[in-house]
Amino acid sequence: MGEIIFALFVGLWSFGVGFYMYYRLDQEEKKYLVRTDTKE
Amino acid sequence: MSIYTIGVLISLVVYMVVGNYAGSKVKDVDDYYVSGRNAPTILIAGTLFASMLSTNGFMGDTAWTYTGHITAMIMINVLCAAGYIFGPMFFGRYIRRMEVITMPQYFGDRFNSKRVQSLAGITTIISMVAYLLAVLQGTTLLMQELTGFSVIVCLMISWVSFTSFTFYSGSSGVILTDTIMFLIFIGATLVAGPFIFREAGGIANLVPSLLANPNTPEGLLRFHGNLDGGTVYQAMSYMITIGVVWLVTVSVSPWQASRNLMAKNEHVTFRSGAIASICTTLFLTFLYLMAISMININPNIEPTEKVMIWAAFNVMPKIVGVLVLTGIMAAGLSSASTFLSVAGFSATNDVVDFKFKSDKSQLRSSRFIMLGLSFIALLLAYFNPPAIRVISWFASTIIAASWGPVAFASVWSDKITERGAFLGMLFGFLGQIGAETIMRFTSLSFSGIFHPFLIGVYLNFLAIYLGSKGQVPTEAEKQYLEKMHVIPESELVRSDYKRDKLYAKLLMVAGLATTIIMIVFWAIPVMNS
Repeated sequence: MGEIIFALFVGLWSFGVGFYMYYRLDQEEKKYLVRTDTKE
Repeated sequence: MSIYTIGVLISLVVYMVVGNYAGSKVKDVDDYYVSGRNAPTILIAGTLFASMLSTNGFMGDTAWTYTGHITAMIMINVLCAAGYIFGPMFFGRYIRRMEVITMPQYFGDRFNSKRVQSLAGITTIISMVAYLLAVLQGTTLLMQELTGFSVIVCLMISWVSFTSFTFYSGSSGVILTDTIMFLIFIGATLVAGPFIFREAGGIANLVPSLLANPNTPEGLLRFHGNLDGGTVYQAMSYMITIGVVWLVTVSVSPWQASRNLMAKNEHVTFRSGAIASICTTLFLTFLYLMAISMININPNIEPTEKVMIWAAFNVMPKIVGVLVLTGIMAAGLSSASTFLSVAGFSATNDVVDFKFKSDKSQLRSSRFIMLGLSFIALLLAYFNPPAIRVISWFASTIIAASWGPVAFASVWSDKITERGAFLGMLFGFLGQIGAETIMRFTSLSFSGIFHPFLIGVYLNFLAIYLGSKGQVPTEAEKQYLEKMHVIPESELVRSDYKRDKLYAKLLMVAGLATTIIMIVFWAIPVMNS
């Protein structure tokens, strides 16, 4: 059981970090590029 | 002279030629210190990972894996890898925006303080020189193993190899040679792996064969690894603590975060961070699988630091063995060149406020100072004084204990003042040194949430709070902070964000694949055994 939990933690941690990176960049793109597009 | 020696010596000549070529293109201080702020993703990723992975990774970490601690190494690396994402997002991109040439300069400008810059510079030099010495010892030992030459000759060969191009070309040469070395050691490992796996009975059969092997170290395949007489709690606590220590280290240390200063733009910092993160998890796990496969081939390699060297000599075709040994040497030299360059830059730019007559004069002085510092490192490596030996034990992480809280606070807090920053850095540095020294020379032991690094961090936070109490940041500090949070127009390109998000998706896929592979090929067979 410990091995399953370990494997889940390791993989899901990496997935989570990647997801967080995606989310932050997506939010930033939406916030600033909408503004930039509107200016143009 | 064996083919292995010839191969490694040829590679050293190649690095010197490439590095000196890069040096001939260096026109000004910006080129020398931050490679003209024009480096693409591959060069930043290459230098990030190559500076991180040294002879320690190929020899020390594989030895630890071979003796039953692969799960600990995987956990430490997975946590550490997150630092390559959080670092640029919460710190690296902001310091890049301010167009400084060194990280201590950033701290000095941010807090409008020469003493903060000097302290950051001094802590950089101490920790980088100590870390450089540890790596130099590793490359010297490897060279001795390969050639049979004396210590002094091997030391000189190692020293000349990285000093010659580092002092001449600065960051331009370092990131180029780092990337070449990165490609060599990654390529060599990926090519060599199948030979080891085949000899060990096949990668798909690795876990069952190790389960059946009476020579497999106790606990190797359990989630906690070899307990070495301790408890499961101690083992898990250790791996998680060290993982967090390295997460902070790769986020803010000058030999890692300073790579962000050289990036072409902020998007490069994110993408190169993602590549470094994937290398830290997937590539290093591949390397460790090679190390534990060696248990099936030869369970009695002594000292265990020689596992990969023994494998290079005995398990693979000679040409592949040459590549692997060249790769291990490359891992050491790439780290050494980065440490020397970072220390040299701080010695020139940060500790004392030299007033250079011109850009050309600063460039010339930078080269001489770096050469001088490298020569001092050579003498220290040869004489190996005890004080340096002590600092080498924790040289890699101490700068993070000193800078970590201050670094993040400098970007995200409008309350931290110059005094808070200075005292935070000072107490972080002294806190870890103090705790490590007590631990080494008395019977007291600090671990878990009282790990010396964390003691440094706690003291750092406390010093920031008490140091900033009763003060407000100056107008200059407030304006600098405000300016840091304005995203330059040049960064707001939709296609860049789309590409960044692709790298993020790659990370997510790597994470999911890791879970599935580990469950199918490791967890289930172990549970069923």
